[in-house]
Amino acid sequence: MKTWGVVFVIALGLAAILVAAVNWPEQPQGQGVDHPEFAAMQQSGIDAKPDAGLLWIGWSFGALQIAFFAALLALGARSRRGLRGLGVPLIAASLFYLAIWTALVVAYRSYANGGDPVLFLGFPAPTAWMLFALWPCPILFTLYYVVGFDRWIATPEDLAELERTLARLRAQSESPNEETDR
Amino acid sequence: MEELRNPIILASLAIYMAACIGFGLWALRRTHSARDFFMAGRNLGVFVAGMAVFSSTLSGFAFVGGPGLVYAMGMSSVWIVISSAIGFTISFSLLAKRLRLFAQARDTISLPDAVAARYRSEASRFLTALAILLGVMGYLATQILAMAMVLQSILERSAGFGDTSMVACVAISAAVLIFYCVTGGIIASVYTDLLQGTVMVVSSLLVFATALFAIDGGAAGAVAVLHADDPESIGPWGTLGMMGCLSWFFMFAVGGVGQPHVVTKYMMNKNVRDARRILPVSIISYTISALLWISIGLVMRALVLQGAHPALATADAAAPAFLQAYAHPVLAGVVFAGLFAAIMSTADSFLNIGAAAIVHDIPRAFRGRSLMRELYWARIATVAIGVAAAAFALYSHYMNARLIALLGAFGWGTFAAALVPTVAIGFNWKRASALAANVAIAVSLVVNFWIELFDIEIPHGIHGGTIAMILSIVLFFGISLLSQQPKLDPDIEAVMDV
Repeated sequence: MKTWGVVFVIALGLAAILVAAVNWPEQPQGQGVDHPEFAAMQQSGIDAKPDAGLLWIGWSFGALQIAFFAALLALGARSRRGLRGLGVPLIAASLFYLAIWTALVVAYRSYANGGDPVLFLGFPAPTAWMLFALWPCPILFTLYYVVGFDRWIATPEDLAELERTLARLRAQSESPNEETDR
Repeated sequence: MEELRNPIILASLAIYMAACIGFGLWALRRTHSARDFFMAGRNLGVFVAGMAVFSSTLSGFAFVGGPGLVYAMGMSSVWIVISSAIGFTISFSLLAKRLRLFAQARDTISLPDAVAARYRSEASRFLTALAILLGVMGYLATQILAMAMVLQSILERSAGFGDTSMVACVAISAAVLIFYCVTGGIIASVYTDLLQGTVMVVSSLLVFATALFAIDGGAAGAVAVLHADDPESIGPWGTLGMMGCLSWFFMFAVGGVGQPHVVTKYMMNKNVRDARRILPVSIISYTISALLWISIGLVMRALVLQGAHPALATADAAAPAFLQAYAHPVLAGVVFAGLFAAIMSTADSFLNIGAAAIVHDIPRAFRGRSLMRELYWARIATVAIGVAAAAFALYSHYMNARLIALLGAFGWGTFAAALVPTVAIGFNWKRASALAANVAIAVSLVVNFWIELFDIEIPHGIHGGTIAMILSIVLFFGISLLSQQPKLDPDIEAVMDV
């Protein structure tokens, strides 16, 4: 399947997940309620913890988002010579990202069940996964862009060829220069 | 020292505003044409461009509204912050190369210019400009309101200024902003962004350190207080819930590609290969600055819960209240300047792209050419948009009070839903058609405004902007596949082949 096809299929999947979520029964106090003491503050409602079904929907929504991010990165990098070897590193980084996301959801499930929370750097475990793993993880994708720019994003040969093509086209049709005035 | 707190803060603000005005006058001498006014002569270095991208992204929404959201909802809004690393990378991957090469091939000076070149459609140019104008009005009003609220919180503690009205604060804030944007256009904007971005990074680091010492036990102490009050608030979803947080995450990660005030900067650097060095500058600066968002919000919530600080009247007061109560007077002065910097650095970009829409893009869509004396009219349009946004800010404050961050999220969502398919996908997929772009923009605007105006509540706290964006993406693909294969101009096709 072509890259744009992957993006489209995942977008359809995201739409389907949203439809499922919107139709999933919402508990009366599923979202935040006014704090009983402090007016500008909220507390979670008594039904705030997602049930098992909603947790699955949420995990799927997050997992599809990660796939969508990777597909968009591939779409942006793709040239007429294809992905030039970027596909495998992108998939590997995406799987790592997905594993962290899954660990966060698993940690949250046990956190939501109550008891003494497992703490890491002062934060409950699922929050620590979010802050210290999920947030920095995309640096892998950033590295591909920064380090692999000449190889995967725009090769010097492609840029030189573009220069030549644009120069040839300009020479062919001296298109009126749309100079902006003062 | 404490008795000098307010004079120091006021002096810091005065110095900052004077510097902005100075940049405006300096840039005035370098702005000779509409191309200079809108595109900075396409000559920005790596560091200036990186700081401009970062500081345009992080606005009053983040520096004032962000801590307010954490104060109100716990960890929920941190999903907006953590979307930044992947969001910037997606944005650069999809657009930094294409937009810079479009600019090289066609001398484009605005995003609608690039859209018109890509789709060979003046209707697409018009709809893109219209979406920008609508989003700018809402988003710019949010920035001006945030500035005025911060200014009022400072003045009300200063002898002789205690009864300064919100109208006066809006007028002062808007006047400085409009002055340097009118005189110096985008050149003033990007070089003030450099100053503003630097102030934001430094002040965020200092605030983060201060916040850790403001409460017993530091971050762990704050977390313990929050956990005792409500374990969910310090869990990963805060009080909003899982689906709501994930919808924010998606909208801010992918939606960044549709923010015209940010992506327009991709056309301004000297060389396409600079993008690989601009990206880390933007990400690192954003990440450091986001520490202010999280730390102030968490610590203020914990201090109030502990009874160590009086309850806040509004959540948006979290950042100003923290700085007034806990920061050293000199630090408070620097950080208040940082708050203004964050707001102005985004607002100036909005004024610039809004003016471009009015004097450059919409006339071209209808008449095939821009207005005569484009630079002159660009300056008039900048004033007009600034004044209109200030009026809207006052209306929003007095008639329809909402949290600054929620207004900002609506503005972000409007741009994201309207422009992500047309720009981010359409600039990378040759099969995309003008009809699909037009329908995606129109439908997303209707859906977004319908949800906002009629206050439609979506189950599980899912953000309306996420629904509008996914709908517009699906429509964009579907209609493109049903349309005839569009014909591209040879130069555009060559750019899309790279």
